[in-house]
Amino acid sequence: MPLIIALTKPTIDIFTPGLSLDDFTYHSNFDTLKYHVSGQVTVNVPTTGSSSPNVFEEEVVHGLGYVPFFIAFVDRFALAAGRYHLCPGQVAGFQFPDIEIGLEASAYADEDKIYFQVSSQNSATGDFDFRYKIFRNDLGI
Amino acid sequence: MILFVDKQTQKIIGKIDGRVHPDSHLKMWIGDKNTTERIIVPWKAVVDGEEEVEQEILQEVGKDMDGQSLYRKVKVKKKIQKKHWEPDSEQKELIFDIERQKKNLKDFKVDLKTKQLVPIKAK
Repeated sequence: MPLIIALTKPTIDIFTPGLSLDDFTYHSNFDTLKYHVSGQVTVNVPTTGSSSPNVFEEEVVHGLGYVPFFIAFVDRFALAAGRYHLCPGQVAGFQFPDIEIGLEASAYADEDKIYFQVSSQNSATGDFDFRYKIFRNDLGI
Repeated sequence: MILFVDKQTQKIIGKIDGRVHPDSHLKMWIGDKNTTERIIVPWKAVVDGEEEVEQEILQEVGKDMDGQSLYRKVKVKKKIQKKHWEPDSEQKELIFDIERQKKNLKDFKVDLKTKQLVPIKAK
């Protein structure tokens, strides 16, 4: 009989018949995301304008040798600080007869790095704060 | 915590969270290696004193017919060191505040000569 490691949530008796997966904090029969590291990156957008592409980028070398599962959030994206949006995100992308306005923040990965980008056309400048979490799980790409 | 600082502007462009960093974290870098400096914030254990505690240990009392060791549980008193961990830095209180998010790292830059956090003056 295989060994199982299981941990139920507070007040739930593990020997109660008919428990659902929601009753467990952890269950070894089900795979999990394996946490690797978290952190913060600032992308500075010094200028904006109509030139295309107006993209600014910072890199995080993760050193895992494969494309990892990761998640990234960006602050100041809707221009009010302290509101974190899941990447990618786009505030606006619209075009007047003479001017194109757009603000987009995104993050992508390869086998070596996570890249954090802000594209600003006739829109915001300054520091954009990204928060990231990287997991050991291979995306399998 | 590991900070990555732009050598020219002394601005913090990124960080890696944590107190203890395995080799896999030390392989990481943020920004261009030619223009960025890495600062690892070390932590140290500080001994607060000694305390006598009672512990249950297994004491070998002999062997059985097959030569396997036999043990019994015994309670023993022993002295242990009480410790806590803190940043090994003159700015340890500031680093605690940043870790607990009472202060924002974005409000500081790094003096690369002294390796100290310096508040960014509001414009």
